[in-house]
Amino acid sequence: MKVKRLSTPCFTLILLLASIHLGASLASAIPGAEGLDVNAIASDPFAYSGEITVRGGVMSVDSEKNQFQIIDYREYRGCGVVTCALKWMTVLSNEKIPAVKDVVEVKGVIEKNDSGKGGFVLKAAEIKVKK
Amino acid sequence: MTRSKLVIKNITRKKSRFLFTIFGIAVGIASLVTLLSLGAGLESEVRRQSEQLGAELVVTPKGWCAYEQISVLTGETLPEAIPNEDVEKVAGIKGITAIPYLVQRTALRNQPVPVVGILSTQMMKFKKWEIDKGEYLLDGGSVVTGFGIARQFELNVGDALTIRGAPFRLSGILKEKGNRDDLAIYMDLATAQRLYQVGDMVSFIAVKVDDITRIDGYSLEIQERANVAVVSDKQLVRSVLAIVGSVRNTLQLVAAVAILAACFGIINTMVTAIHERKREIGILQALGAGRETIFSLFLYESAFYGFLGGVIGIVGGVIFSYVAAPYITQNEFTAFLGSAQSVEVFNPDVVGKAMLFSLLVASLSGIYPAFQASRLSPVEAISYE
Amino acid sequence: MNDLIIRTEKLTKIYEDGYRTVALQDIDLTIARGSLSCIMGPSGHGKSTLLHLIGGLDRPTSGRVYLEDMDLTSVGSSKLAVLRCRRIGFVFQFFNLLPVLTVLENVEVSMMLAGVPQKEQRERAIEILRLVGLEEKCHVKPNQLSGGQRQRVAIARAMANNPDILLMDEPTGNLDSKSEQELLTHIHKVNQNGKTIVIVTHSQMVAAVAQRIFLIRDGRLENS
Repeated sequence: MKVKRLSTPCFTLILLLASIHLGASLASAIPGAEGLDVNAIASDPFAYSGEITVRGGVMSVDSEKNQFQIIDYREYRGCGVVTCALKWMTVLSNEKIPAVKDVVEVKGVIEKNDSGKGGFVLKAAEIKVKK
Repeated sequence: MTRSKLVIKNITRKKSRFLFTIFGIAVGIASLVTLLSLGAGLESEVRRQSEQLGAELVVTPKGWCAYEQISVLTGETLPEAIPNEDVEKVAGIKGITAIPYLVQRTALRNQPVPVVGILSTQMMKFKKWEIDKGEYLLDGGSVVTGFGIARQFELNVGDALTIRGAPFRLSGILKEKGNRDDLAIYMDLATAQRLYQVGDMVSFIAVKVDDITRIDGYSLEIQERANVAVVSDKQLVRSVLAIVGSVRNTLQLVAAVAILAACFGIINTMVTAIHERKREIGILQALGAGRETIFSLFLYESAFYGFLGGVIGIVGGVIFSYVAAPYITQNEFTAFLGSAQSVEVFNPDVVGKAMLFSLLVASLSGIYPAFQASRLSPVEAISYE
Repeated sequence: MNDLIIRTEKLTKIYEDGYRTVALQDIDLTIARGSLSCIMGPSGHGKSTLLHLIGGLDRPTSGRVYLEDMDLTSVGSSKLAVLRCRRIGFVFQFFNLLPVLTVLENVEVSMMLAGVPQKEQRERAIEILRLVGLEEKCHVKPNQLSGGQRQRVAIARAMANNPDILLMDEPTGNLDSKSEQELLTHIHKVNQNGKTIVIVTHSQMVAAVAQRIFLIRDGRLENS
């Protein structure tokens, strides 16, 4: 009898936690990331000086040139695709280049460079691919 | 001896069963409170931001998605897509005031700060702004800031700012408004358009109408004249809430299932208790307790489960909301709505409703067992071993 | 003034669950006010059923039970509950105290059901417990009492609302002879205070104090 009595609240709790977990994993098929947003930086890139951390979704990759483009993280989470953004940022990196649709946190410095959209690039010192 | 004393003595006689049943309903109510609080918090946040906009209609470029619509409310950078020609067409309609916005971004000390291009005199009148320090001067070399920005970055009148490489002088600081207006730098629209190289485009137009009853007519007229889309502030809130709501509905379903399980827990506990206490019911009947008395005693027992479970659940739910708010609100929908801290966790309305719901649900769960108990024949009950 | 407090007319109880059992048939009896009567007979021959019918705990298949001039068989169940509460006290063989309550609270419960205010409940309960010699056990739970003591609490509880009639079903059935004797002294005392008492019993010791004995055999009243 005791086992039976225990089972209802325990079942409830497990169900609740499982549902929250399921809900959370469904809601966040795109992993969490911290940092400044691409859209904000793209408006006035040279207002940022020194090392900054930028989060974003990888839109395209050019391994030969050691560069990739990222779009605004929130826009990526909202739309779920990387192909619709009007603004993006080019990242130059000597490290391993991430794959398209990866969520990344890039630590680096904004530099003037006409090869990037808006005449700037983010020179990466460290790239974290979020899972 | 009172009925309530008898109820409490009976209910607490089996400590573990009592605790588990209470725990069952508490978990259900806690989940409900958590989800309702977060939902209500998000909703009130959306409404608050919509009110701050102060416009009845928002004119946007055609084809804007929900993300961009929400951005109107949150002050995020927006694509600029309405040409001046359309702004003038809208402004030309009799009975409305059209206020164009160009929402961009700069950074102060590596922190992004909104730069809003506006028509200075019109905006001041529309927003009823007042100047706190300095003067309200917006031109090719001067900007003003909201109170919050000035405080956060310790800005003073006369300070030099560099925005997109151009030098500006801070001519004035606005009085505190207690909303998003405090958190932006305001620039003359033409200057902003030139600086951000957007031609004669603006991001959106806020529209205030003279006659609120004719709002649908205005909306139609704007769309006929200019190549734009129009949403009312209510539609804007609705479309944002629809996104938030879809998440909320799922979560509420989870809470409903949890509470349903708790109800069966109460019914199970009560039916077991009645089975065990059959003989005592017989004694009470022999002592002169009528059917109504037996019914009410058992109904009070389940209501008491509801009361205690409700109190514990609400406390647990509020605490859980504080802890979980940053995680639960961090999804693609709510991420637009700014920081999780802005979600108001303690909501008296939610707490009141949850308590009432807990009592109601527990009492309803108790009806069947209480009815069973009241239908026992005294002789059958008293002879039960 | 009517000298009879209880009267039955052709009282019959037939159980029909699966097969027909005649528990009582055509019982005519009268019980005088203030008397102490015994109902005796072999087990399973209908003594307890008769007591339940007299006390309004159960309803007959046919026949009538009168409490003074009131026909209990025509009274609704809530009025019967009120009558049980105010005019009739029950004592059962297996003590039947509520285990979660103290001795004092057990006595108070019947007054609570009668709507007696809390303060008065307490005063009266203590007074009655003093009568049955248990005032020092007020705050003890029933499981800490001896069989005889528990039965005295049951009598105190039955008397709490000052009923006219006390109906006892084998009150000494679970007691040793010393306790039985003690309990009988109390019952006798209660009877002398003017209460009408009807006891279902097998005990000759109880029968010895009765003014009248009804013998039930096979559901019929044999002699009295």
